[in-house]
Amino acid sequence: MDKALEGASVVFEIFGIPITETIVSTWIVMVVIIIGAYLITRSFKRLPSGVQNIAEALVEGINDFTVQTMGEKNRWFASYAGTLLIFIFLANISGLFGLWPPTADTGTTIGLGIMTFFIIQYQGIKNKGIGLYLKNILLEPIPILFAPMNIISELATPISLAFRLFGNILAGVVVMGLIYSVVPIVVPIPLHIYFDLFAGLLQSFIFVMLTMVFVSMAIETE
Amino acid sequence: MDIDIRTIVLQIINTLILFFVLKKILFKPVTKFLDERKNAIESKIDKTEEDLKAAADLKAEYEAKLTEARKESMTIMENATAQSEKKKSEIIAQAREEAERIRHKANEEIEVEKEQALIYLRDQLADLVTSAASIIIEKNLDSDSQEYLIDRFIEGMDGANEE
Repeated sequence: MDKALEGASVVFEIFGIPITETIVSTWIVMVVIIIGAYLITRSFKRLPSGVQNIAEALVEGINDFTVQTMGEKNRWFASYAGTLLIFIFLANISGLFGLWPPTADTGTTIGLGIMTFFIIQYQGIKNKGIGLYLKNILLEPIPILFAPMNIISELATPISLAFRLFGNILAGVVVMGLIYSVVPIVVPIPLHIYFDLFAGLLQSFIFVMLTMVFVSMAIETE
Repeated sequence: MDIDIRTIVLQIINTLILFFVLKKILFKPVTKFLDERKNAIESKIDKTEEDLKAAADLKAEYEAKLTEARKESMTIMENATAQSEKKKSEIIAQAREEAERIRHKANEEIEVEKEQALIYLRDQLADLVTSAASIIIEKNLDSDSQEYLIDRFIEGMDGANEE
Protein backbone atom coordinates (compact mmCIF):
# COMPACT_ATOMS: atom_id res chain seq x y z
CA MET A 1 0.00 0.00 0.00
CA ASP A 2 2.57 2.56 1.06
CA LYS A 3 4.87 1.15 -1.57
CA ALA A 4 2.31 1.86 -4.30
CA LEU A 5 2.10 5.50 -3.30
CA GLU A 6 5.83 5.93 -2.80
CA GLY A 7 6.65 4.70 -6.26
CA ALA A 8 9.66 2.74 -7.37
CA SER A 9 12.53 2.68 -4.92
CA VAL A 10 16.17 2.96 -5.86
CA VAL A 11 17.83 -0.44 -5.97
CA PHE A 12 21.41 0.64 -6.55
CA GLU A 13 23.44 3.30 -8.29
CA ILE A 14 25.83 3.16 -11.24
CA PHE A 15 28.14 6.17 -11.68
CA GLY A 16 25.76 8.18 -9.56
CA ILE A 17 22.76 7.25 -11.70
CA PRO A 18 20.06 5.78 -9.49
CA ILE A 19 18.80 2.44 -10.83
CA THR A 20 15.22 2.17 -9.64
CA GLU A 21 12.97 -0.86 -9.50
CA THR A 22 11.44 0.44 -12.71
CA ILE A 23 14.72 0.05 -14.55
CA VAL A 24 15.37 -3.39 -13.10
CA SER A 25 11.89 -4.57 -14.06
CA THR A 26 12.39 -3.14 -17.54
CA TRP A 27 15.64 -5.05 -17.91
CA ILE A 28 14.01 -8.27 -16.77
CA VAL A 29 11.13 -7.75 -19.21
CA MET A 30 13.57 -6.94 -22.00
CA VAL A 31 15.65 -10.02 -21.31
CA VAL A 32 12.54 -12.21 -21.27
CA ILE A 33 11.31 -10.72 -24.57
CA ILE A 34 14.67 -10.97 -26.30
CA ILE A 35 15.41 -14.52 -25.15
CA GLY A 36 11.86 -15.56 -26.04
CA ALA A 37 12.12 -14.00 -29.50
CA TYR A 38 15.52 -15.56 -30.03
CA LEU A 39 14.41 -19.03 -28.97
CA ILE A 40 11.27 -18.91 -31.09
CA THR A 41 12.81 -17.51 -34.27
CA ARG A 42 16.01 -19.54 -34.00
CA SER A 43 14.46 -22.69 -35.44
CA PHE A 44 11.97 -21.38 -37.94
CA LYS A 45 10.77 -24.02 -40.38
CA ARG A 46 8.77 -23.87 -43.55
CA LEU A 47 5.96 -25.81 -41.98
CA PRO A 48 5.11 -23.98 -38.76
CA SER A 49 4.50 -25.89 -35.56
CA GLY A 50 4.16 -25.08 -31.88
CA VAL A 51 5.45 -21.69 -30.77
CA GLN A 52 6.36 -20.76 -34.33
CA ASN A 53 2.62 -20.42 -34.98
CA ILE A 54 2.35 -17.96 -32.10
CA ALA A 55 5.30 -15.90 -33.31
CA GLU A 56 3.98 -15.90 -36.90
CA ALA A 57 0.49 -14.93 -35.76
CA LEU A 58 1.91 -12.18 -33.55
CA VAL A 59 4.13 -10.64 -36.22
CA GLU A 60 1.52 -11.02 -38.93
CA GLY A 61 -1.14 -9.58 -36.61
CA ILE A 62 1.03 -6.56 -35.83
CA ASN A 63 1.86 -6.08 -39.53
CA ASP A 64 -1.81 -6.29 -40.50
CA PHE A 65 -2.81 -4.02 -37.62
CA THR A 66 -0.28 -1.41 -38.73
CA VAL A 67 -1.34 -1.63 -42.38
CA GLN A 68 -4.99 -1.37 -41.35
CA THR A 69 -4.43 1.69 -39.18
CA MET A 70 -1.75 3.50 -41.19
CA GLY A 71 -2.02 2.16 -44.73
CA GLU A 72 0.27 -0.08 -46.77
CA LYS A 73 2.97 2.58 -47.24
CA ASN A 74 3.58 2.76 -43.49
CA ARG A 75 4.30 -0.90 -43.03
CA TRP A 76 7.78 0.03 -41.82
CA PHE A 77 6.20 1.28 -38.62
CA ALA A 78 5.13 -2.25 -37.68
CA SER A 79 8.37 -3.19 -35.97
CA TYR A 80 8.28 -0.13 -33.69
CA ALA A 81 4.57 -0.59 -33.01
CA GLY A 82 5.15 -4.27 -32.32
CA THR A 83 8.03 -3.53 -29.96
CA LEU A 84 5.85 -1.05 -28.09
CA LEU A 85 2.92 -3.46 -27.94
CA ILE A 86 4.94 -6.39 -26.63
CA PHE A 87 6.98 -4.28 -24.22
CA ILE A 88 4.07 -2.30 -22.78
CA PHE A 89 1.88 -5.38 -22.44
CA LEU A 90 4.54 -7.40 -20.65
CA ALA A 91 5.50 -4.37 -18.55
CA ASN A 92 1.85 -3.90 -17.59
CA ILE A 93 1.39 -7.51 -16.50
CA SER A 94 4.81 -7.83 -14.87
CA GLY A 95 3.09 -6.96 -11.58
CA LEU A 96 1.61 -10.45 -11.72
CA PHE A 97 5.13 -11.87 -11.38
CA GLY A 98 5.95 -9.74 -8.37
CA LEU A 99 7.82 -7.04 -10.30
CA TRP A 100 7.20 -3.34 -10.05
CA PRO A 101 5.41 -2.59 -13.39
CA PRO A 102 7.71 -0.22 -15.33
CA THR A 103 4.63 1.46 -16.80
CA ALA A 104 3.49 2.44 -13.31
CA ASP A 105 6.37 4.91 -13.33
CA THR A 106 6.21 8.26 -15.09
CA GLY A 107 9.82 7.75 -16.06
CA THR A 108 8.84 4.96 -18.44
CA THR A 109 5.59 6.38 -19.79
CA ILE A 110 6.97 9.87 -20.34
CA GLY A 111 9.96 8.32 -22.05
CA LEU A 112 7.63 6.45 -24.40
CA GLY A 113 5.53 9.58 -24.90
CA ILE A 114 8.62 11.61 -25.80
CA MET A 115 9.61 8.99 -28.37
CA THR A 116 6.16 9.13 -29.93
CA PHE A 117 6.37 12.94 -29.90
CA PHE A 118 9.66 12.93 -31.77
CA ILE A 119 8.46 10.37 -34.29
CA ILE A 120 5.38 12.51 -34.97
CA GLN A 121 7.39 15.73 -35.40
CA TYR A 122 10.08 14.03 -37.48
CA GLN A 123 7.60 12.36 -39.79
CA GLY A 124 5.61 15.60 -40.07
CA ILE A 125 8.65 17.58 -41.16
CA LYS A 126 9.94 14.80 -43.40
CA ASN A 127 6.67 14.28 -45.28
CA LYS A 128 5.24 17.81 -45.35
CA GLY A 129 8.48 19.70 -45.67
CA ILE A 130 9.58 22.25 -43.10
CA GLY A 131 7.55 25.03 -44.73
CA LEU A 132 4.20 23.31 -44.64
CA TYR A 133 4.98 21.89 -41.20
CA LEU A 134 5.63 25.34 -39.74
CA LYS A 135 2.68 26.81 -41.62
CA ASN A 136 0.38 24.18 -40.14
CA ILE A 137 1.51 25.01 -36.64
CA LEU A 138 1.91 28.79 -36.87
CA LEU A 139 -0.65 29.94 -39.45
CA GLU A 140 -3.60 27.54 -39.20
CA PRO A 141 -6.48 28.12 -38.93
CA ILE A 142 -5.81 31.80 -38.00
CA PRO A 143 -2.24 33.13 -38.41
CA ILE A 144 -0.21 33.57 -35.19
CA LEU A 145 -3.29 33.75 -32.97
CA PHE A 146 -3.71 29.98 -32.90
CA ALA A 147 0.01 29.17 -32.84
CA PRO A 148 0.24 28.77 -29.05
CA MET A 149 -2.77 26.46 -29.07
CA ASN A 150 -1.28 24.38 -31.86
CA ILE A 151 1.97 24.08 -29.96
CA ILE A 152 0.16 23.13 -26.77
CA SER A 153 -1.88 20.57 -28.69
CA GLU A 154 1.32 19.03 -30.08
CA LEU A 155 2.85 18.91 -26.60
CA ALA A 156 -0.35 17.57 -25.10
CA THR A 157 -0.22 14.47 -27.25
CA PRO A 158 2.76 12.78 -25.57
CA ILE A 159 1.68 14.00 -22.14
CA SER A 160 -1.81 12.55 -22.50
CA LEU A 161 -0.35 9.31 -23.86
CA ALA A 162 2.14 9.07 -21.00
CA PHE A 163 -0.27 9.86 -18.21
CA ARG A 164 -3.10 7.73 -19.53
CA LEU A 165 -0.85 4.68 -19.44
CA PHE A 166 0.81 5.65 -16.16
CA GLY A 167 -2.49 6.47 -14.47
CA ASN A 168 -4.21 3.28 -15.50
CA ILE A 169 -1.39 0.98 -14.45
CA LEU A 170 -0.56 2.83 -11.23
CA ALA A 171 -4.27 2.88 -10.36
CA GLY A 172 -4.31 -0.87 -10.85
CA VAL A 173 -1.33 -1.27 -8.55
CA VAL A 174 -2.88 1.04 -5.93
CA VAL A 175 -6.30 -0.62 -6.08
CA MET A 176 -4.71 -4.08 -5.85
CA GLY A 177 -2.66 -2.87 -2.88
CA LEU A 178 -5.81 -1.66 -1.16
CA ILE A 179 -7.60 -4.94 -1.89
CA TYR A 180 -4.69 -6.95 -0.53
CA SER A 181 -4.69 -4.95 2.67
CA VAL A 182 -8.41 -5.71 3.17
CA VAL A 183 -8.97 -9.24 1.73
CA PRO A 184 -5.67 -10.91 0.98
CA ILE A 185 -7.08 -14.21 -0.36
CA VAL A 186 -9.43 -15.37 -3.22
CA VAL A 187 -10.91 -11.93 -3.95
CA PRO A 188 -7.72 -10.54 -5.57
CA ILE A 189 -7.64 -13.31 -8.20
CA PRO A 190 -10.44 -12.09 -10.52
CA LEU A 191 -9.33 -8.50 -9.86
CA HIS A 192 -5.86 -9.40 -11.00
CA ILE A 193 -7.36 -10.68 -14.23
CA TYR A 194 -9.13 -7.37 -14.71
CA PHE A 195 -6.53 -4.87 -13.52
CA ASP A 196 -3.43 -6.62 -14.78
CA LEU A 197 -4.38 -8.77 -17.77
CA PHE A 198 -7.35 -6.90 -19.19
CA ALA A 199 -6.34 -3.33 -18.39
CA GLY A 200 -2.73 -4.20 -19.24
CA LEU A 201 -3.64 -5.49 -22.71
CA LEU A 202 -6.14 -2.70 -23.30
CA GLN A 203 -3.75 0.08 -22.29
CA SER A 204 -0.93 -1.31 -24.41
CA PHE A 205 -3.29 -1.42 -27.38
CA ILE A 206 -4.53 2.10 -26.73
CA PHE A 207 -1.01 3.47 -26.48
CA VAL A 208 0.13 1.77 -29.70
CA MET A 209 -3.08 2.57 -31.56
CA LEU A 210 -2.95 6.26 -30.65
CA THR A 211 0.74 6.44 -31.55
CA MET A 212 -0.08 4.96 -34.95
CA VAL A 213 -2.98 7.35 -35.52
CA PHE A 214 -0.92 10.41 -34.56
CA VAL A 215 2.02 9.34 -36.70
CA SER A 216 -0.13 8.62 -39.74
CA MET A 217 -1.89 11.96 -39.26
CA ALA A 218 1.51 13.64 -39.25
CA ILE A 219 2.51 11.76 -42.41
CA GLU A 220 -0.65 12.63 -44.33
CA THR A 221 0.09 15.60 -46.55
CA GLU A 222 -3.55 16.18 -47.58
CA MET B 1 6.31 10.79 -6.74
CA ASP B 2 8.45 13.14 -8.74
CA ILE B 3 9.36 12.86 -12.39
CA ASP B 4 12.96 11.71 -12.71
CA ILE B 5 14.69 12.82 -15.90
CA ARG B 6 17.39 10.15 -15.49
CA THR B 7 14.81 7.39 -15.43
CA ILE B 8 13.17 8.87 -18.53
CA VAL B 9 16.47 8.89 -20.41
CA LEU B 10 17.32 5.36 -19.29
CA GLN B 11 13.88 4.12 -20.33
CA ILE B 12 14.17 5.76 -23.74
CA ILE B 13 17.54 4.05 -24.20
CA ASN B 14 16.09 0.73 -23.01
CA THR B 15 13.15 1.02 -25.40
CA LEU B 16 15.45 1.88 -28.30
CA ILE B 17 17.68 -1.10 -27.52
CA LEU B 18 14.64 -3.37 -27.31
CA PHE B 19 13.34 -1.91 -30.58
CA PHE B 20 16.56 -2.48 -32.49
CA VAL B 21 17.07 -5.97 -31.07
CA LEU B 22 13.48 -7.06 -31.75
CA LYS B 23 13.56 -5.53 -35.20
CA LYS B 24 16.68 -7.53 -35.95
CA ILE B 25 15.77 -10.85 -34.40
CA LEU B 26 11.97 -10.88 -34.58
CA PHE B 27 10.13 -8.51 -36.89
CA LYS B 28 12.45 -8.36 -39.88
CA PRO B 29 13.23 -12.08 -40.15
CA VAL B 30 9.70 -13.23 -39.40
CA THR B 31 8.15 -10.74 -41.82
CA LYS B 32 10.69 -11.72 -44.45
CA PHE B 33 10.04 -15.37 -43.73
CA LEU B 34 6.27 -14.92 -43.99
CA ASP B 35 6.60 -12.90 -47.20
CA GLU B 36 8.88 -15.51 -48.69
CA ARG B 37 6.51 -18.28 -47.81
CA LYS B 38 3.61 -16.28 -49.19
CA ASN B 39 5.53 -15.70 -52.41
CA ALA B 40 6.50 -19.35 -52.59
CA ILE B 41 2.89 -20.42 -52.15
CA GLU B 42 1.74 -17.85 -54.67
CA SER B 43 4.29 -18.91 -57.25
CA LYS B 44 3.39 -22.55 -56.62
CA ILE B 45 -0.30 -21.79 -57.17
CA ASP B 46 0.57 -19.84 -60.31
CA LYS B 47 2.73 -22.68 -61.56
CA THR B 48 0.02 -25.21 -60.82
CA GLU B 49 -2.49 -23.13 -62.72
CA GLU B 50 -0.07 -22.81 -65.61
CA ASP B 51 0.53 -26.54 -65.58
CA LEU B 52 -3.17 -27.23 -65.54
CA LYS B 53 -3.65 -24.87 -68.46
CA ALA B 54 -0.79 -26.51 -70.32
CA ALA B 55 -2.29 -29.92 -69.62
CA ALA B 56 -5.67 -28.76 -70.88
CA ASP B 57 -4.02 -27.37 -74.00
CA LEU B 58 -2.16 -30.61 -74.52
CA LYS B 59 -5.35 -32.57 -74.03
CA ALA B 60 -7.16 -30.41 -76.59
CA GLU B 61 -4.25 -30.84 -78.97
CA TYR B 62 -4.25 -34.61 -78.54
CA GLU B 63 -7.99 -34.74 -78.94
CA ALA B 64 -7.71 -32.75 -82.16
CA LYS B 65 -4.96 -35.07 -83.32
CA LEU B 66 -7.04 -38.09 -82.41
CA THR B 67 -10.00 -36.74 -84.33
CA GLU B 68 -7.76 -36.07 -87.27
CA ALA B 69 -6.28 -39.55 -87.08
CA ARG B 70 -9.73 -41.04 -86.89
CA LYS B 71 -10.76 -39.03 -89.90
CA GLU B 72 -7.65 -40.08 -91.73
CA SER B 73 -8.20 -43.72 -90.95
CA MET B 74 -11.75 -43.33 -92.16
CA THR B 75 -10.47 -41.83 -95.41
CA ILE B 76 -7.92 -44.57 -95.79
CA MET B 77 -10.56 -47.17 -95.18
CA GLU B 78 -12.89 -45.54 -97.67
CA ASN B 79 -10.11 -45.33 -100.19
CA ALA B 80 -9.29 -48.95 -99.65
CA THR B 81 -12.90 -49.93 -100.00
CA ALA B 82 -13.23 -47.88 -103.16
CA GLN B 83 -10.02 -49.33 -104.52
CA SER B 84 -11.05 -52.87 -103.75
CA GLU B 85 -14.43 -52.15 -105.25
CA LYS B 86 -12.71 -50.89 -108.36
CA LYS B 87 -10.39 -53.88 -108.40
CA LYS B 88 -13.33 -56.16 -107.93
CA SER B 89 -15.23 -54.66 -110.83
CA GLU B 90 -12.06 -54.75 -112.87
CA ILE B 91 -11.58 -58.39 -112.08
CA ILE B 92 -15.19 -59.09 -112.85
CA ALA B 93 -14.95 -57.19 -116.10
CA GLN B 94 -11.77 -59.03 -116.96
CA ALA B 95 -13.40 -62.32 -116.11
CA ARG B 96 -16.38 -61.42 -118.14
CA GLU B 97 -14.15 -60.50 -121.06
CA GLU B 98 -12.21 -63.71 -120.66
CA ALA B 99 -15.40 -65.68 -120.61
CA GLU B 100 -16.58 -63.81 -123.63
CA ARG B 101 -13.31 -64.53 -125.37
CA ILE B 102 -13.45 -68.20 -124.45
CA ARG B 103 -17.01 -68.41 -125.60
CA HIS B 104 -16.12 -66.67 -128.82
CA LYS B 105 -13.26 -69.02 -129.37
CA ALA B 106 -15.50 -71.99 -128.63
CA ASN B 107 -18.02 -70.64 -131.07
CA GLU B 108 -15.35 -70.31 -133.67
CA GLU B 109 -14.17 -73.81 -133.03
CA ILE B 110 -17.70 -75.04 -133.18
CA GLU B 111 -18.07 -73.19 -136.43
CA VAL B 112 -14.95 -74.81 -137.78
CA GLU B 113 -16.08 -78.20 -136.59
CA LYS B 114 -19.44 -77.61 -138.12
CA GLU B 115 -17.80 -76.59 -141.35
CA GLN B 116 -15.68 -79.69 -141.33
CA ALA B 117 -18.66 -81.78 -140.41
CA LEU B 118 -20.60 -80.27 -143.27
CA ILE B 119 -17.80 -80.96 -145.68
CA TYR B 120 -17.61 -84.49 -144.42
CA LEU B 121 -21.36 -84.84 -144.62
CA ARG B 122 -21.37 -83.45 -148.09
CA ASP B 123 -18.84 -86.08 -149.16
CA GLN B 124 -20.76 -88.77 -147.40
CA LEU B 125 -23.95 -87.50 -148.86
CA ALA B 126 -22.45 -87.50 -152.27
CA ASP B 127 -21.48 -91.13 -151.91
CA LEU B 128 -24.78 -91.97 -150.35
CA VAL B 129 -26.75 -90.22 -153.03
CA THR B 130 -24.63 -91.80 -155.67
CA SER B 131 -25.16 -95.24 -154.33
CA ALA B 132 -28.82 -94.51 -153.62
CA ALA B 133 -29.34 -93.12 -157.04
CA SER B 134 -27.58 -96.04 -158.66
CA ILE B 135 -29.79 -98.35 -156.72
CA ILE B 136 -32.93 -96.45 -157.59
CA ILE B 137 -32.18 -95.86 -161.24
CA GLU B 138 -30.44 -99.26 -161.67
CA LYS B 139 -28.42 -97.67 -164.21
CA ASN B 140 -25.10 -95.92 -164.17
CA LEU B 141 -25.19 -92.45 -165.48
CA ASP B 142 -22.17 -91.10 -167.18
CA SER B 143 -19.98 -89.39 -164.76
CA ASP B 144 -20.73 -85.88 -166.16
CA SER B 145 -24.41 -85.99 -165.65
CA GLN B 146 -23.85 -87.68 -162.34
CA GLU B 147 -21.74 -84.76 -161.05
CA TYR B 148 -24.24 -82.29 -162.38
CA LEU B 149 -27.06 -83.92 -160.56
CA ILE B 150 -25.19 -84.09 -157.32
CA ASP B 151 -24.17 -80.46 -157.44
CA ARG B 152 -27.67 -79.33 -158.00
CA PHE B 153 -28.86 -81.43 -155.19
CA ILE B 154 -26.31 -80.03 -152.80
CA GLU B 155 -26.96 -76.41 -153.80
CA GLY B 156 -30.55 -76.98 -153.08
CA MET B 157 -29.67 -78.33 -149.67
CA ASP B 158 -27.32 -75.39 -148.99
CA GLY B 159 -30.00 -72.94 -149.85
CA ALA B 160 -32.41 -74.62 -147.49
CA ASN B 161 -29.78 -74.80 -144.84
CA GLU B 162 -28.92 -71.10 -145.03
CA GLU B 163 -32.48 -69.96 -144.88
